[in-house]
Amino acid sequence: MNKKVILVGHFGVGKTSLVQQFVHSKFSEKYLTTIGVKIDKKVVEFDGHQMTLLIWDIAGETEQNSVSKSYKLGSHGIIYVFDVTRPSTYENLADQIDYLKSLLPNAPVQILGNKKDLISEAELESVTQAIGLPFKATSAKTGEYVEEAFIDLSKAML
Amino acid sequence: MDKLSQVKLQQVASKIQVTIFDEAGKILESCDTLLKTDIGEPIFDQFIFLQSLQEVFTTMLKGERHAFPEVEWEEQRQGLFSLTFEKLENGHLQLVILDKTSDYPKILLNQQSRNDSAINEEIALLQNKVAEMENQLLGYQNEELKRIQNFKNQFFANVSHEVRTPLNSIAGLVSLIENDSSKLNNYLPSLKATSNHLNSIINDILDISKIEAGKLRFEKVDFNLKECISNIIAGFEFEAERKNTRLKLDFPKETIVLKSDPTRLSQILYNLIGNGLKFTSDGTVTLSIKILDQEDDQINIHFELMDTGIGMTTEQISAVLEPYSQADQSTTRIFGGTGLGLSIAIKLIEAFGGSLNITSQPQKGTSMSFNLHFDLGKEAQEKKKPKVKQTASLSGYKILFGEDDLVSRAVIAAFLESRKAELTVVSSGEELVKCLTENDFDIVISDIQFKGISGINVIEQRRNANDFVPFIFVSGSEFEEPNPLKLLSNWRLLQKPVDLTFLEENIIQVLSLKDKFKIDLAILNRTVAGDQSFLKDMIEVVLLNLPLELKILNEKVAQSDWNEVRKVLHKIRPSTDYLGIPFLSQSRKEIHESVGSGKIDEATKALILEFNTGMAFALNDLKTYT
Repeated sequence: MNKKVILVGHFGVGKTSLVQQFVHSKFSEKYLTTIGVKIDKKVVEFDGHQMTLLIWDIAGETEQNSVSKSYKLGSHGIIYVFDVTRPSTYENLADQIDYLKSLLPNAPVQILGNKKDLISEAELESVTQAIGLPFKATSAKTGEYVEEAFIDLSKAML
Repeated sequence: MDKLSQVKLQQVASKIQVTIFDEAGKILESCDTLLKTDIGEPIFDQFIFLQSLQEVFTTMLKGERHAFPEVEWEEQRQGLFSLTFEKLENGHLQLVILDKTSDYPKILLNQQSRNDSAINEEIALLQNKVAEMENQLLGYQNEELKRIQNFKNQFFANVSHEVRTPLNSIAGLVSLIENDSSKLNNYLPSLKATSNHLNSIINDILDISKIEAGKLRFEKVDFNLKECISNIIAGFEFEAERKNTRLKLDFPKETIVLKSDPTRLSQILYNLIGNGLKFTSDGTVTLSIKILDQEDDQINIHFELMDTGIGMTTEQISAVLEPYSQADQSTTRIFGGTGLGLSIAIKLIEAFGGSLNITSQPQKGTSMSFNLHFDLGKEAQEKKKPKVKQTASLSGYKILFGEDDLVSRAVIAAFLESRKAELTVVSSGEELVKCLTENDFDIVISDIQFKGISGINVIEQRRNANDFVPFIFVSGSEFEEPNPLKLLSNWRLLQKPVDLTFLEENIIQVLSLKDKFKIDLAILNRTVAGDQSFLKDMIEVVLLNLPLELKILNEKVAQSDWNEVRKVLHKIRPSTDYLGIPFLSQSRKEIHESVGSGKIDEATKALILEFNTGMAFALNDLKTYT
């Protein structure tokens, strides 16, 4: 069972690092921006199911409507990533999610607040209050909640 | 085709791949310039990228053109490709792959610099925001400073007025007595009442400074709540009668014995009842006590004070809840007061773990209530009250009294003599040392600050000479316990102006400890099996070592070095047990256990203090057997 998953969000929030951590269990501090799209693949197993995730790591954009629609074509699931240390990456989160849902109404959305390792629990709490949407805090660096995020989305895509 | 066009075509051809596939997705033709494909096989099986497009194949068949301008490719070869799907006129589909790898560094550079500038913009925005917030904070701080300054001015104006009034009265009364001393007895009650009032204002101010500095200490003693409250109410009966106001107490039928601080609880109730009475005439002031719940050794009590006085508006309630303020400035003029009483009550209630709730209606009255949680205490079997009213209460006791202020010396000395003490009066630290070196005294009462040798120096010298005579110091300044005193045993500190009855109570309490901590020589005798020479040696060893260990104990307690405290307590166990005073053995054990378990609370510290005092008395007693 093949499922196309797109990773979207502002540039520099750590989308590529999340994929690297999930697919190759690797993390690099070096920042290299993604151009266009980069595709990776990983087979996941959960609850007796096997699923091949075709992961489209799409170059970061401030506004989702400026990303070419063709990249999102036929997506089964969406991972929207923001950076918990940069308010600009989650200030218009609700609008971005609405736009993606209008484009892909049947695709479940997983919102991830990445770079959790850089802030305290109290700071995370204030980010949670500021956002007002359910999200999971991840760290591509430590791997915290990365695998779970993809598995949760896979379950939702069944 | 000319040569130029041929070269041009060759250059472009090396960067383009065209693959044609049919409606079923089978590859019909491919030039494979960039990626190798399997002719005759489905195109969607060839690469991961194409696999994920299988589901949108139907839209391609309908003629939709799909372009992917930049794809970071990693299969077969690494590169940056542009891919375009298009339907041809014959119904077949065409995939054109353009190799943009040579443009990759340039695109990357553009993209990175775009990201960098966006990040810089974000940083600049955040910096502006921080600067804005800092300015705002500065504004708030300035406003708060102004508010505090205004409040301070108002507070000191109120306090000065309140202090000046009784001072003027005292000066006036003294003048009247000077003019006609035969009327001394007529003026004495007024003089006493006015000086008491002045004293209470100063005590309020000192309490507030202690509360603000977080240095207020709470006792934990067993007391009967009804007895405590009845005493407070009794103190207001005269005032209530004067204002034609009924003072009522609603108390549950059950006997309530608490383990808490009766002085601080009384202070809360005294301030609230005093306030209620101040603002009520021809009415009723009711203090109602209710048990909310009681479980094991815990109790939750609701206190409510209701009056039928002048009441307050909502704004006035907010104003009185501000620290050290009154409902409005006219309150000070009409009813007097510094506004400290209610502030003290509020702070004390908070320190007890509660909060004051006020409801009020102008001209109808006010209700002030709070809930407090207490440990239950045990009813005392027999209350030993110090005998303070006997005129010969200090008869037979040798008291050394040192004071350099002429008036204080005369007043206190006259009082001690009136209690039939065998009194020696001196006016300097040097004289105190001389007297203590040459004679034995039961107790020393002394000012703490002399010009030459201070009271602290005197006690230090005596303790170094293994003399543990009790000291009661009186001090005129509001102080923390001076640090050198913390290292010494068997002293108390009272504050000037000292209430003479309170001083007498303290002297009697201290002197009563002398009997409590008398050593039991029989224990020592048993230890040495009646060998008197060995007994003498034994006493000398205890007298030599125990004071040194106690000094170390006090030092370690002052440093909160509980590990060392535990070691010293372990070391002194045999010497302590030889003294044959059950209290000292038991308290040493309790302190040792508390320190060992790391549970060092105020009760432990109080027990250490009591242990110290007991040891000092015991050592003094032991000296008499040498």
